[in-house]
Parts: sequence; structure tokens; C-alpha cells
Amino acid sequence: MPDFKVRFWVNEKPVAVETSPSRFLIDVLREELGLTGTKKSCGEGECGACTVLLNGEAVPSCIIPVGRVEGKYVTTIEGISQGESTNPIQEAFIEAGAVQCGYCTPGMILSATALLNKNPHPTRQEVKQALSGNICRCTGYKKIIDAVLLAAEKVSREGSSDQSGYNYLVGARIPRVDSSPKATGKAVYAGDINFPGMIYAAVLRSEHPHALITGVDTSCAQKMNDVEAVMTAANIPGRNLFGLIIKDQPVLAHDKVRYVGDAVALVAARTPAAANEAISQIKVSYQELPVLFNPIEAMAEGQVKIHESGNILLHRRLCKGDVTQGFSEADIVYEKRYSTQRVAHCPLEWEAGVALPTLDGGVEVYVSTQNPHYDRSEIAACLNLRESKVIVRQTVTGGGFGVKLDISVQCHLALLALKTRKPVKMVYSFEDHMKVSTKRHPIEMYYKMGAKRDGRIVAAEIKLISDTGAYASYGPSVVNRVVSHCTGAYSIPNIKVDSYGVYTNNTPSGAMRGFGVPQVTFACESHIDALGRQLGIDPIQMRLINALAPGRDTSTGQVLTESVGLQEAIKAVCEAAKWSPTDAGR
Amino acid sequence: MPGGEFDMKKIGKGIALVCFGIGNTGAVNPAAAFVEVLTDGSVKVLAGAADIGQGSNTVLAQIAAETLGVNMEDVHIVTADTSMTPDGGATSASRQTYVSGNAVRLACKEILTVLSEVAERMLGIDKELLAFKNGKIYCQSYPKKMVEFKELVNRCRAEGRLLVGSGYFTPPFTPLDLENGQGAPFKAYSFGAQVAEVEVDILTGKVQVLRVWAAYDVGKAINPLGVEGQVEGGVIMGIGQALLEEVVIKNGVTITDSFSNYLLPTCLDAPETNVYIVESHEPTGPFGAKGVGEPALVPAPAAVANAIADAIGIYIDELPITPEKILAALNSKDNERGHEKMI
Repeated sequence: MPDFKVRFWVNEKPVAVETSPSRFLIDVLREELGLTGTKKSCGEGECGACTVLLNGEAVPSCIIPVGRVEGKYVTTIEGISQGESTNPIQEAFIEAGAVQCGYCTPGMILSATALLNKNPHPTRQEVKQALSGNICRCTGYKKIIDAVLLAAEKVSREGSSDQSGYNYLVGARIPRVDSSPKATGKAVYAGDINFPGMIYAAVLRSEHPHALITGVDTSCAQKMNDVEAVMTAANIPGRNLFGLIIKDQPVLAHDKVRYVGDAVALVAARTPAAANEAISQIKVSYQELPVLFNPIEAMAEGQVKIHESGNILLHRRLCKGDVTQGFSEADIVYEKRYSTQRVAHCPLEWEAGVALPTLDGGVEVYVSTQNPHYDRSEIAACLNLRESKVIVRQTVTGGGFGVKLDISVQCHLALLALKTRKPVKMVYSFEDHMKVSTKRHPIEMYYKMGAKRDGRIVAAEIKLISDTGAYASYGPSVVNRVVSHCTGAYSIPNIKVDSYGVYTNNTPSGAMRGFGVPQVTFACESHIDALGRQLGIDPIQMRLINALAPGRDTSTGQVLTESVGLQEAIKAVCEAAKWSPTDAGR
Repeated sequence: MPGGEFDMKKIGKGIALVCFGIGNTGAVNPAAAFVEVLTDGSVKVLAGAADIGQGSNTVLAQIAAETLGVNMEDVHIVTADTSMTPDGGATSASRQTYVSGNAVRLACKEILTVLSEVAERMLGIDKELLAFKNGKIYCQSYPKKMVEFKELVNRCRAEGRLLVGSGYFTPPFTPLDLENGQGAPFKAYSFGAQVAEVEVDILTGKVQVLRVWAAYDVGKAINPLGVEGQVEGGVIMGIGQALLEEVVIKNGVTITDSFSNYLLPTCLDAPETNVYIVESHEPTGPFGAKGVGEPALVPAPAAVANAIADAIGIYIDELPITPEKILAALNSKDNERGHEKMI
């Protein structure tokens, strides 16, 4: 209970907040003062999304106890926007195209403000140093650095910007239509939404990678103060399975768990702390099963089955021409194995949403998502509602990169909202994002290619084994796409590909920017580079010889006829990088 | 120690290409949009496509403005709300500019049909000769003969004709044969080439990506600023995948659960990135456009890996290429892992 009054200045106005002095500044700003322009992300002071100015210094507000700001001056993104209008730094971010998802933007702008206040004419390197504590997952930083340098110019000019009514159409370099609310902190992300009487959800997750559930005891949790609802698989009115391609993942596991992170029970309570406390009071008994973490082992005969259908999710083949014939014609044959790691999407905004019951017995879900219409179908099936009674509204989304194509909070929140008839909110932590959400498929890749002495690749034999983890998610799309993309941007006459997606007891792998293609491109491009080196052919030349062009066919036998600008792209980068095919320095 | 500091830093260049099919592989993947023109001449676009930061709202608004010949400030776009917008499918597979872009264009075309009919009568000009530009409808060869967009809209309403349009698009394809994987799974492919230049410190194994040159054939860059943003972001995400990022799971438990043990690229890891746009006009794309979201990232890890190989003379066959792996490769007589056999 509040036991302390902290007095400080926020955006030049004095505030007094009754709260514990150990509460973090970000929570006081967002929850007590309603200043949601300050964004919450890593919660460890590492990512910079929560940056505010404290007596003019840029600091991460997520690790500063509010007791430490007593008597000090705090400036948030709302404080540097003069009323409705943007200041020159915000304008520079908008104009330079430095705003994409916008979740890092308020923090970036405040770090930039602190820098420019001290050093009105920074160098590019000084800007980089000043922003090195602010992570951005979208922009690649270039346009952000450009924006700060542009802001320095604008500030020194002190003139108002000459935005002469932008009549930009197709082909024009145009600032985003949504960049102004993002640069001023006004954009409303899912975590920024609050409704009167809103309660909070938490999820009990499996601690075992593979086990049978032998019992779930929720009696203690049910009785706890502030708990509004406790739900298990038995309380699901509709289909307890979801998945875009194959419905193999339970909304709440009822008979077995397949990875550390499977959802087993839900709680809704009046505070997030009460919800988490109730989760810890639910007892689940398990009978452990043999575990499989390596896809090559998992696909072997006689292993424990993770799903009844078997451990091979999908096998796709490609056969073009005659590889045996192709290899027999080759002057050189080179084979090698490659592997890639599991990668996390890490949009700075983690999965989040709020669900409300509607007057017609349906449900309305505000969620950070890449596909609201798909979410609607899963929620409707899970709740046994007509799709027309389910409304899904995408909130301003702080990046996705594929992870928000999947169901995360959607069904859980909708279940709890219908059960309690109250608005329910859930925001993932970074830990949830890492442990529960899908990842990029690790792929084991075997490549064998044969080439003629003149550099023409005449045959390729490729085997790919993707670890799809505990559930299918977008695994079938990855397994399928890599088949046609694993020979890259090259026309090769004879190709044989076998692509497998294999279930394991790892975190599910799903969609991530490129659907497996960055992985196979690493293997393919390394392989062709090495092959060229063995033939004494320059990497550029090797590519120009084999690259797709109008009239050449792809691995699927599709003859490309139009809109094939690959050779031009190769020439453009080589010219810019001053790298000519005849470069003898290699 | 032999040599100076400079001998410890090896510079290398690498190249990698991408050919990426836009939309789902050999499958239908439609998207739809509704458009309404209001009596004050403003345009409401309702599209299913979710903008997750990549910029589709801006691109779709540009396409609507260009098709109807109005200004960007006249277009108001609402997206990804199932109570209002039709299904746009997933924001994935680099598809929204191409697929939803076409849906918006087709919805606007429906409205143009009505506007053209009414303008033809109003101006007494054959509708084939009409131009829609800058909020005006005029005779292409005699621009003085014109009517303001807003006036035409009101004329339509006075005649009882409301200006609403809907459109949907799914890319044409030939399914892949399940036995041999042959077919035409995509209509549009985006292409790109990236060259990376790296510096490898052979004492510490540390890699710094110094410069990246990236050229992309996107068909038509509806918003070049957005295309550059996608490519610059893709390059650094690729550098993270090539050098830094790895989710470590031990016995099913994720060990990398904090920012201190899952490393993301910061601005200090960002190379000098130069983006070049190639335009090749895809006939089925809106104004010739294809897509760029994923192709932007695809060749980046490979270009960095090849640049490292150029610098140190060894191809590392496992991502991420950490300093430990580089040092181990440099220290071992040959880098072969001893399992270059069929899996």
C-alpha cells in the first residue's frame, strides 16, 4: 500500500505521487500519470525504449526507482512535443524516414534531445555513441542517425519547417502517414490501452519439455483474493487447438505438454501481481516422457512420438532434370554441411492485447498482430462463437517480423473476457517472448554442387532438415518455401532437393522474415563462393554466369520472362563497391 | 609480435544474391479493400492489411491517391480491424504492397468507372481522354476543360450514385507438383544483391561490418524512403543473425532470456549502408511494384559470411559466426567438420 509521497517535476509541472519509493519510474509515469508515450520493453535498462530525461540526462526509466527522482526534473516525450505540434527533432525523425514501427522512437528522440542540448553540432560518430543504448529492430539505424544530424541543422536554423502541403504520390519519397503520432508518443500500442474495471491475465506454463498431464489442481488459486477467474482446458467452450496450417497446438494443454512454455492454465485477477501469485498456487502433476531436442534424432525410426501423426511434420521434394547425369558432366563436385541457429524476432514491443466482452455475447480484442482476420477465426473457434461476433482490432504494432502471425494472447484473453465479463489485459515480458513465442527455424543443410570448368553449375543435390519445435505453426510454409529457394537466385539445370520439417521438444519455430530463405541462402551462397574459389573464378563472375535472367528458368522450371532486374542489381552493387569481376586482388 | 596492428585486421568483401517469390508459395493468398469517396472529396480506404511498421498504410494511401488523382492529405486509411475492413491476409511473405496494393487499386478503379461516366457527360469529353490528377478531372489534351474532384463527387451524389468500391486480388500461380516440385509458384519475384565489407581482428576474432552496398529490383518503388528503410533494417537484422544472435535452449529451457545474453545489433554495429533501387516493372503489380520486406534481409548473413571468408580464407559453415568460431577456425589446420556426408 502507498506509504510514501514522491514529489518531482514532470514536463515542467510539479507532481506528487503516493507510491512505494522502490517502484520504477516508468510504471509511475505510465500507470499513475498516464504518460504512455514512454515505452516499456526489456525492463532491464538495456534497450532504451523507456528513455526519459532526468535533469537533462537520458536515462532508462525502467530501472530507476521513483524514490531517486525526488525533487528532480523528468522530461518525457509528451513534454518535448509543444502541444499538438512537433519540435524540430521530431520533425527531423519524420522527414528522414527514421520512424518505422515507432516503438523505439520516443526513447531515440529523448536520447537525441539530450545529445543536442549538450552538443548542438555532433559528428556522425558522436551521434552513434549517444544512441548506442537505444535498440531499434526496424530501421538499421541509418535514417535515425541521419535524422539526428538533420535535427541539429534544423535546431541551429531555428526556422519552422517548410512543409508545403505534401502532394506526394506513387514514386515519391514520402514520410509515413503514421509517423507523427509515433514521434510524439501519442500512438496507442496494446500495452497503452486501459479500460475502467480492467483486470489482468497470467498464464501457467509447462516446466517440462515433454510430459503427460496427470492432474491440475486449481482449488487454492480459485480461493485467492482478487482472483476473478481460473481456467483450464476443461473450461474451453469450443476447439482447443489452433494453428494457421495444421491445428496441432492446444490453447490450454489438457493431456500432454510438448515444450517448456506450453500453456496449461489461465488466471484473471485485479492486479498483475495477484494474477501471478495465483498462477504459482496452481498445482500440475506430470508424468515425464522421453525428450527429443535434435531433429535428426527425432526423425529416426522408433523414437517417442511428439504428435500422434509422427515426428516428421512434412517432407517436400523437388526434382528438376537429372542430377546423376548432371554430376557426371561436372568437372568439379563440392559438398559440405551447413547449419544455422535459432533466432528470436525481438520486435521491441512484445506480444500484448486487451479483450472485452461485447453486448451481443461476443468479444472484442485489441491486439498487436500481423493478421487480425486469422486471429478472429481462431478466437471464434475456441470460444464457439460465430466469426461475426468476434471483433479483432490491430493496435499500433511495434514490429513483428513474423512472430505476431501466430496466436499468443488472443485466445487466452478472449476466454477470460467472456468468462469474467470484464476487460482483460495481458502484456508479455521479454522472457515470455523468448521462452514461449515462435523462433526462426534452425536448419541443418547438406549441399552438393557440380560445376563445369567455366563456372557453369550443372547439378545440385540438397537436403534440408528444419527443427520446427513442438508445434507446426508456420513450419509447413518454411519447409515448402526453402525447396524452391534453396538454389538461390541461380538457374541450375539439374536439381534434387529433399526438405524435412521435424517436430522436437524445443520452442516452436514459426514464421520469421524470409521463411527459411536467409538460412538456405547462407548455405547456397557460401557454397557457390567456395566452388568459384576452387575453380579460380571471381565471385562476381561466378554469379553473373549462373544468375537468373529473362529466359532462364528457376528451380521449379518456371521460365522468367519479365521484371527480372537481378543482373542490373549485381552490376549496381559492384559498381558502387568498386568491385569488378576482373579484380585480380583475390 | 610480428607486424603491426594493421596486420591483425583483415579486410574482406563478400557478395550474395536473392530471388524471392512474393506471396505464398503455390497457394492462393488473397487480400481485399473497400474504398469510399465522401462528399467533401476525402477518400476513405478500408484495407485488411496490418501495418506493423513496414509502412503499408503509407503505400496503400499513395496507391489510392494516385489512382483517384487526389492528394495524399485527402486520403484517410483504416486498416486491420475486422469490424470494418475486409480480410487482407497476413502481413507476411513480402506481400502487402503487391497484393493489398492491387486490392486498393482495383477498389479505386470501380469508383473511377462511375466518376468517368459522370465526368464524360458533365464535360462532354470522351472518358478515354480524361485525366485524374491533383484533385482535378480534365481533358488530357486540353487541360482547361476540367472539373474539380469535389464538384464531380457531389454531382455523382446528386444523381444518386454513391462512390464506393471494393477490390480483391490473389496472385496468379501454377501449383507445385507434389512429386517433383515443379510449377510456377509465384507470379512476381523480387531480386537483390548485397556486397558486404568486413574487418576481422584475427587476434580477438571480432568482426566489424564496415560497409554494405545493397541493390534491389522491387519492380517499382512506391515509396523509395520506405524501400530504403526496409533494406537498411534488413541488412542489420542480417548482421545480427550472421554474427551475434542465438537463442540457446538447454534441455528444453531457454537460457537466453535477457538482453544481456541475447545480443541485438546496436547503432555501433551498423555499417555504412548504401541502397540502390532497380525498377523493372512487374505487369501484375500495382504501378509495377513487387515487394521488399523479406528480400531485404535474405542475402545479408550470406554476404557477411562470404566477406569473412574473403578476409580469413576460411568458410565458417555455422551461424552465428562468433569470435570463438573464427579463432577456432584459424587455429585448426583445416576447417572441415568431418561430416561432409549426406545427413
